[in-house]
Amino acid sequence: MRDKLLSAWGRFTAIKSGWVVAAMLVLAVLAAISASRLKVTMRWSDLLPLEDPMVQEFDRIIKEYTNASNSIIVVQGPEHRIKEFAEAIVPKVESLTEYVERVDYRIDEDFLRQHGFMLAKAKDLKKTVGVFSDLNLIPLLTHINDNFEETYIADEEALSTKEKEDDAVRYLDGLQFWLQVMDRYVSNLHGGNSALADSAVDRFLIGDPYFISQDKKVLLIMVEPTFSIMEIDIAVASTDSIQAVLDRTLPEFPEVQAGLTGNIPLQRDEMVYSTKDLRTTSVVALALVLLFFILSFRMWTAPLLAGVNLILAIIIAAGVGAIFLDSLNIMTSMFAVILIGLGIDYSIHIISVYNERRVLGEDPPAAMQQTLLRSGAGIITGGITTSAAFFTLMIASSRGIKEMGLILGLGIVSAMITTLAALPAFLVLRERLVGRIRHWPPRPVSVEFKVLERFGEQQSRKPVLFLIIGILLTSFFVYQALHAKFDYNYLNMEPKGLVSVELQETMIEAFDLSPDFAMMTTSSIEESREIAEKAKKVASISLVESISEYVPSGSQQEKRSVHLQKIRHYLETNTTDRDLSENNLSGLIEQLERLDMNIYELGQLAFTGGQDKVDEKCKQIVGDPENPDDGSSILQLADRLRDNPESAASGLNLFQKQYTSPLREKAYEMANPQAIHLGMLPETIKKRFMNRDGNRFLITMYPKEMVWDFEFLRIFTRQLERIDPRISGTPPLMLRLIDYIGRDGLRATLLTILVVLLFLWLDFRSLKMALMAMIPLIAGGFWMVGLMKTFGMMFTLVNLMGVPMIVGIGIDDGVHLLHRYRVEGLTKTPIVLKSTGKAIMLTSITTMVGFGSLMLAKYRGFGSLGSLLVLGVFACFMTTVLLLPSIVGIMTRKGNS
Amino acid sequence: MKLKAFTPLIFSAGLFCAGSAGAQTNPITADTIIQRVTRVMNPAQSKGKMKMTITTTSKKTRTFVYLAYAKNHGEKTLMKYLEPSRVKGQAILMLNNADDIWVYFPRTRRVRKLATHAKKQKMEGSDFSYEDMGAGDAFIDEFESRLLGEEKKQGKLCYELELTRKPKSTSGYSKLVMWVDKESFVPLVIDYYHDDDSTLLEKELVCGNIEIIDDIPTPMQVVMYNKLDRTQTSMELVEVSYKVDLEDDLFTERGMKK
Repeated sequence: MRDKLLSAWGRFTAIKSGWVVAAMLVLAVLAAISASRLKVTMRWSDLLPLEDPMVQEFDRIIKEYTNASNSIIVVQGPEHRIKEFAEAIVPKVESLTEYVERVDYRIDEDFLRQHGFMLAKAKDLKKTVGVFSDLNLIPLLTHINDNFEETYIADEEALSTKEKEDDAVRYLDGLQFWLQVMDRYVSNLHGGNSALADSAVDRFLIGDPYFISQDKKVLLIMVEPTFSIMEIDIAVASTDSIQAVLDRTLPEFPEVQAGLTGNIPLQRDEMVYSTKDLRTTSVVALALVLLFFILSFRMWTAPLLAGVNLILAIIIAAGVGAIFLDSLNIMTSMFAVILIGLGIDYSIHIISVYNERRVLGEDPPAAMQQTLLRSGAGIITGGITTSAAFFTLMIASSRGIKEMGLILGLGIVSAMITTLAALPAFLVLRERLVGRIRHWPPRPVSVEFKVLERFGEQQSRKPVLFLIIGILLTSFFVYQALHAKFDYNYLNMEPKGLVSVELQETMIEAFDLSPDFAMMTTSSIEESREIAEKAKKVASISLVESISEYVPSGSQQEKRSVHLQKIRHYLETNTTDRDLSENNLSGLIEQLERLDMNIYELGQLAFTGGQDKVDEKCKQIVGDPENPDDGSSILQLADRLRDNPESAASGLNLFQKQYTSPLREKAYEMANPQAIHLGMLPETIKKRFMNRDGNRFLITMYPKEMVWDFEFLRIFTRQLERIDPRISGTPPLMLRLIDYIGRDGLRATLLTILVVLLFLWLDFRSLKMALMAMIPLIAGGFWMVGLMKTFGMMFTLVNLMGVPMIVGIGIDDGVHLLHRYRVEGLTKTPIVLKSTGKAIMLTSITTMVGFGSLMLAKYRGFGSLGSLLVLGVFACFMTTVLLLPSIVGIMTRKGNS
Repeated sequence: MKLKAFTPLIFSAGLFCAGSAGAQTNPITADTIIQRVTRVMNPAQSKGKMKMTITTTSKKTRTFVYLAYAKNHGEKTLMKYLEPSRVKGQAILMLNNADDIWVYFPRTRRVRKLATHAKKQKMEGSDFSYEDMGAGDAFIDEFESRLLGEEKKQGKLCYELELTRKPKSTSGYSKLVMWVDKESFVPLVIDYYHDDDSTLLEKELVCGNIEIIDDIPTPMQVVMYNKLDRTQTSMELVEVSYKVDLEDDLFTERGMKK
């Protein structure tokens, strides 16, 4: 029945080739219209099941909070220049109102100026109160020393967490700036105006307002978008616009380097590179496949027609796929390249047999009739088996594998249909056309590979030897396969040298902060506080951002208010200014020396305690104890006071005069005892943490290391789960994805093998033959993984998805060989290998060429898949020609004996 | 700063003889094993030179060499840094099982008292904390012990014990799993589980290179792996002596400055 239909169809396409081509073109146009609405997304979360609660939470946060998506400008260079650069570029970035909601590059100064002390812990406030009891320089320094000793020397716990270590560094930084300003007044380098004293007060009370690293060489500018990262086109346009602003501004700051990172630029880079890659690799794949085709068949136009046929298949698959899918993901975006590698096989069979028939002198309709009769059944069996294998992947729970199964299944069916419908019509039309132009029909060529025939002869003579070689090689690769490793670092899948990735590492080095944050929402500020407090104690978390930081609890505010009232009382009552003179400078020198000792001791404790940041900061102030030439800036200041007391006292009196008033006013304002409530927060802070309805509060938790080190990712995610199982974000999602893919990959591979076996059983009507056809596939699987290990390759999140694919692809070789044995007889190995061996070699090479083009991709994830598939196809071909004929040979001998 | 200076490294056979477990006629119980471990880990007096390598917050390694003196089963401990030169002469005195800690800085000639109380805290940037080695009777007082069986570690047959935190315990660990060498009663490996998650392995201590010093089996190398911070601290015993008579005067402010 099938043969009759194929034969009739072959004749029909040859006679009505114009109609068939026209019909296919109409179908392609309709499919193209449908496919045009398909988008491409490179978000890893799109590979996960939609119904997963963590994915739902992630998507909800991304939609509701635009600041869950971000762009970060990382500026590097000398301190004053990077600050100038920030001041210059921020207004320009802010002017991109279409894309930019807000730019943060300084702390929320206004709010801090009004309520700063209310945000400090009662324990710390209690120690700080004394500092404001007398603002004159000597008592101020005395109280700073008292406070300093109580906080950092007498309490070892003060440095025991990263947050506390950072606080210590900030405190020291403010103190260092204060001392530097004092030094300038002593040296008469103050310039006369009070701005310098004012800035010392700000730095002392609030700290460095910029988001700047401890070594002052890296500055961050956070750009909050008006859109969510899900709006990919806008993400690309936004990143390009900000990059253009950077490119225009950077020439004015030759010492400054600046680049973009954060999830939006990373998403943009992934999109741009992957789109370019897919375009390039598709063209290269098609060109190489056709080139190989042309060289092998020594024909020009027929292979080009096979290429057109493939393009039709891809368009139709995409068009039909668009009915079921809204977008192509990281995996499915590669379907065109994969289809080129796979779909060309069918064309090879058709063109090969058609040429043979034409060489035999048959006219086109008869030759096409015979062609479909002889190779149509194989194509249909192969197509149905492979597509069934792909469709089986749809049982997976992860969208990545599920959608890949769908689109590749559709692609194979589509390639099968166009090869049986369009290609025969193309071939006949081509002959007619060439005949009209040249007045004689093209001369068909038949190509033979004698090597395979000779190999088959050797195998027929010594099947046991070849089987032993096959078993030894397979054993070696099984051993290797068992030692294969997984590379969990998704950044290793990104293009090399990507600025957005490199800057992530810069951020981690400079700030102990990775931009790949985790997040969750809560229904109250109290819940946020509870979660944030838990998160702050977690070793793998570097920074926790929560609205609770800005709205302390009622009891906290009550306790703090007592100290704030005391501070205000001091500031209101102790207003006597006492000038310094040569006579009382010794008191100041004494306090400076005490401060030097305190900072030195703190540095020593930090050194033995391994707290490098604090140690480094202390060294900046009191010198490196290991370098005798590096003196203490405090002791140098004390020396200057001793050397020139008169001038020093005069300078310090001016300093005292200029700082007391702003210090009193600003500290008074900051010591506002009025309770803070949600309504008092400025909109900028509210927007960062609250959703549009104002009933959910966002908490973000930044890991302190690169989360793509799997061991750290596991620890970080485990600790997040302990804080609250609802926590989402890229790191936990990635771990979830690894779990899904591991589970799905195994399940899908096993099920695909079963489905393939079932189809083969039905096709061969013999379980023994079906199982035999599976041997090269199973052995090939081990060869593939073993070869990967041998070449130093690892499994990745992307190429792991290729494993179930190879089941669908690799089975074809064994099926074709066994089909031919059935036709030729089990003793005809040389003939089988000469003819079918040639075909499977050609199809394997074209498939490898197609997949191999993925290895040219800059996006290394695609490359890892390409490499795996190339090795997989090679392995399946090798195991097919090495193991199957040997087994058949031994079976034949047994049968004969 | 909670760890007795070199409690982890000084295991005194004191009241038991090596190999005595094998001579037991009755099956040994978990409680007996823990009592013996505790005795091993609390020597009467000791003096030693140690090398400690820590991982700093920026993931660099830093090595310190110091002299350590302990008295009254570790109740009094004094550490004096020898290397690197930056901390030479710096001393740490811990009294009352490290409830009171003082630090002496030779450059400023000041002695500062560090007020601290948390048992869970890191000692000197290391991954050790005071209770990690069961200083005092912590293993007995804070945990219920259970013998899980026997297992080989480092080629030696060990008792495998599970220590579960008692309800009113103040320990910073919910559970310990310990492999104790059947012959020497030295714990070769101790796994420390997180304070509020008994399935989360927080730290792992590995003792190796056991030598008999003054008739006492002593691990010359101890490494603590912090599984959460992904850092490690190794302590090497360069020299040690248990047959010493340390004056009380050594464990004073004057002793720190000597």
